[in-house]
Amino acid sequence: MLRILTLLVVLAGTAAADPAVTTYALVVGSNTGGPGQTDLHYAEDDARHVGSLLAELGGYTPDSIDVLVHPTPDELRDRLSKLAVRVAADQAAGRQSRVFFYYSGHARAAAIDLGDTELPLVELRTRLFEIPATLTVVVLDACQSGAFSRVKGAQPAADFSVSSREHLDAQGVAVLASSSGSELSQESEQLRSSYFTHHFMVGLRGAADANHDGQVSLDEAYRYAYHQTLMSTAETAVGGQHVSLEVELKGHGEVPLSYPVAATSSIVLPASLEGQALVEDKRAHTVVAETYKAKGAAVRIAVAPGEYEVVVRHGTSLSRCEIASGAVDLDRCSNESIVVATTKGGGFLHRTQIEVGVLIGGEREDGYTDSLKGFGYNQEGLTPSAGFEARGMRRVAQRVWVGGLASWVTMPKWSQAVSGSNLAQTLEWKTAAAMALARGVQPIGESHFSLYGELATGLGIGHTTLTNSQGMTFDDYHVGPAFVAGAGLHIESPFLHDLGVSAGYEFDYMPVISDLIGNTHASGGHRLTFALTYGF
Amino acid sequence: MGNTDCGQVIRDSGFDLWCGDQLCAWKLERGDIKRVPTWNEGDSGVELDGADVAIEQLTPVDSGDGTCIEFSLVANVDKNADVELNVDIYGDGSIEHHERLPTANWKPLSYDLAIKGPYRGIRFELAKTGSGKAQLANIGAKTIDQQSCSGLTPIIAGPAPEGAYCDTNNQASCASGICSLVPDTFDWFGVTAACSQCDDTHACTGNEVCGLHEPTSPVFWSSNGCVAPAAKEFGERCNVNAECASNQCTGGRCSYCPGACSCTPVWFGGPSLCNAGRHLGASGSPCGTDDDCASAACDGTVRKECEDGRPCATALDCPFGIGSAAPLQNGACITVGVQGGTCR
Repeated sequence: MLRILTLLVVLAGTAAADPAVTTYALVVGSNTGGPGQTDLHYAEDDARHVGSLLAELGGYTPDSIDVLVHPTPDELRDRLSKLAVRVAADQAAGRQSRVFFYYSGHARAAAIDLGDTELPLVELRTRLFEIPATLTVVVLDACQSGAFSRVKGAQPAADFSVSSREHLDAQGVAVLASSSGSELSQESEQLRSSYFTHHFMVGLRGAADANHDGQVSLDEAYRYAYHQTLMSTAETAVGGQHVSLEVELKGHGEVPLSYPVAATSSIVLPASLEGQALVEDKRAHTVVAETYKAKGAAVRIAVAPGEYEVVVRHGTSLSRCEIASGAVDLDRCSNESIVVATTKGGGFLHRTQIEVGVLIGGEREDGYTDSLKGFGYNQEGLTPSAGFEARGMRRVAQRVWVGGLASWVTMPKWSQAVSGSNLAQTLEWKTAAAMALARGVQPIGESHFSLYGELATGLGIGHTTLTNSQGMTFDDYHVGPAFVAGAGLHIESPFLHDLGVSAGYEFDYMPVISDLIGNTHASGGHRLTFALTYGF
Repeated sequence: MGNTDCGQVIRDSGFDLWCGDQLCAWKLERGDIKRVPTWNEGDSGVELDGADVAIEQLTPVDSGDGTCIEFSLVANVDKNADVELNVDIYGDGSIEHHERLPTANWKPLSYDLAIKGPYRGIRFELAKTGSGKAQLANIGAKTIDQQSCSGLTPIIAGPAPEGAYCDTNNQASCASGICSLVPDTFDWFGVTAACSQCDDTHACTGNEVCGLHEPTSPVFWSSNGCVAPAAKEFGERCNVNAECASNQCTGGRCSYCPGACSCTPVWFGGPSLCNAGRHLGASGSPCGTDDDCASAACDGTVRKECEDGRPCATALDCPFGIGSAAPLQNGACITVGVQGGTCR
């Protein structure tokens, strides 16, 4: 279930524009999961996009960027070996070199998963660090990618409070990991990317350029990716994702990763704009960049030439703004909502879920049914109560959903034989209810399974129909409160991520059926439920 | 369980069966009743309406069905109403046991009744006095396991009235002191022991002869009784020739077959007649159906009978059939022919 996006960047100590430094990038992406892992959606696309970004803004020439998609371990070993040979040749020629390694895909605690086979992190680390580059930067986008550092023997990165800038210099190794050693990395349906890689790239496009010097340093990229990834994932069911940075660098000066100032086109988010901003490509209908823009300073984001618009969410308001002369025109704004997330290799987690299902179970006996027996009625056979339920829920917190529940249940017939005749009287009854629902969900590990517990309360209607021995029918309706408490197991489909099934138990209590002599039947009891779910 | 419906003794527990404007199974003895809703508007009970009201139902249950009976009902009785359940074994009017119903608000009540056998027929009466409200529903009685009645003092009926089934070895069980055999076409041996007025050893007084008395109740059978000589018309039930006007009792019916002729019943189980059904009867000759007469017209009193052979006017006189699949259902009152008829 682990997708490792490893960006190993070996950077030369000088800027990309420095002709004395040779740059190389090995960018790897793999959607395929190993045994028990669900395929990722965007790892390979992320790798391609990172490769393009490096060519566009990173100072890399196209022939120095090696994008490797869906490789086998041997193919990756081969590319690493060839890279080592090239760097060694530069070293022999007296040229400094920098290497940028990026990996996006599945990972487990001690290995990256390349389809059905693994490449141990120890081996990957060894092979990367054996490359004789002046500076190596490794970027890993995968679940538990922080474990890469532990392989090395270092402690996991401290939170952002650690000032890594003071330790950066032109030589050494830096490892940027998309999550800590125990966290899951997540993909976004909306962004069509992993959260981390998206924010990392947006940062490189200029959003991370805190000092406005036209270039984005490793430290700036880390700071930006850390905050933006954490903010984006805080509301997902998986939980906040902490980007980590480990460095072993010598010397002084920043390590530039990109040069957005050199871009041919860009979009400026004006100083007065505040909120979550989405830069969308109007033609491709894709999110090019999502960033939280604070009020106070303009942010320039380098983009490829094209047509864009910016959606800004601030609080509960959502605005769609036009771009005029390379800047967001706040006078030309008009609405929308987003966020669907999945763990890297885990189940999909939606904002909204619809459930339609059936329930079946026994019917409670109480004073009402005792009275029925007193009047000579008996339940027909062992027929259980059965009916339909529909739920609509919206996720309001990481593991909390609220919504509505509608149910329709018919109970077993009761009948009374008229002694001394072939006639009978029958009682049919049913209930309907509309309730407000709150559900807590607990995912089971990284699987497609989750446990839930729920409570619902609302109004119910009880309807009885008595058909007497003369064939006359008498209908009665009663309204009353309705309560449901339940728990169960939800399973996301590993193939159709919007669909799933739920199976559970619920206890229904609905005192909505009354007779003329003072008895009220609390319809319900112990029931089993089965439902199909659709999330979006 | 020959006289019960799967152990159920009472018919129409919810007052649902109506024959025209009268209840089919229940009989109003005195006062008024009205249908009232119970737990549901559509499920009726009965309210004993007035200060002196009684309803009754005679059931054919006998000691062969059981001697332990559970009587149950759901009652809504005010404190100012005095409601009693009266048990009349044989249905002869003598109350052998009674229970007073408590004040209740649609409360299920039940009473276990131990009844000493042999017996046949019980009349259950529910009688109310007082101004308070008394509403009853789901009245039922069923035979139950004998052990349920252990410890209860058995209800002992008084001496059996005429027509009640009896044991010939216990002549004293009959009020008349006579338990004798009477013809019974439904019995395997063709006879049944019934309390009687006379028999071979107990002659009638005066010039009466020991003939046949029709049963006086659906739970009784015919008995040997003193009747006027030569008084019964063609088609009436009989035991001996002397009680028939024709001086001929054939097949338990006053018949008419003088001389040598083809003497056959005019209807199944009916009186016998020469050339019955051949349209040969001359004007003024006896007949049982129109087919017996050359004129195709038999004048006389139409005879209707229940399944057990008792004369009846309507189905209400036949509250339960003999040998029916559902013995607690009303039997039919069927026109069988003409009694005392003569060809036109």
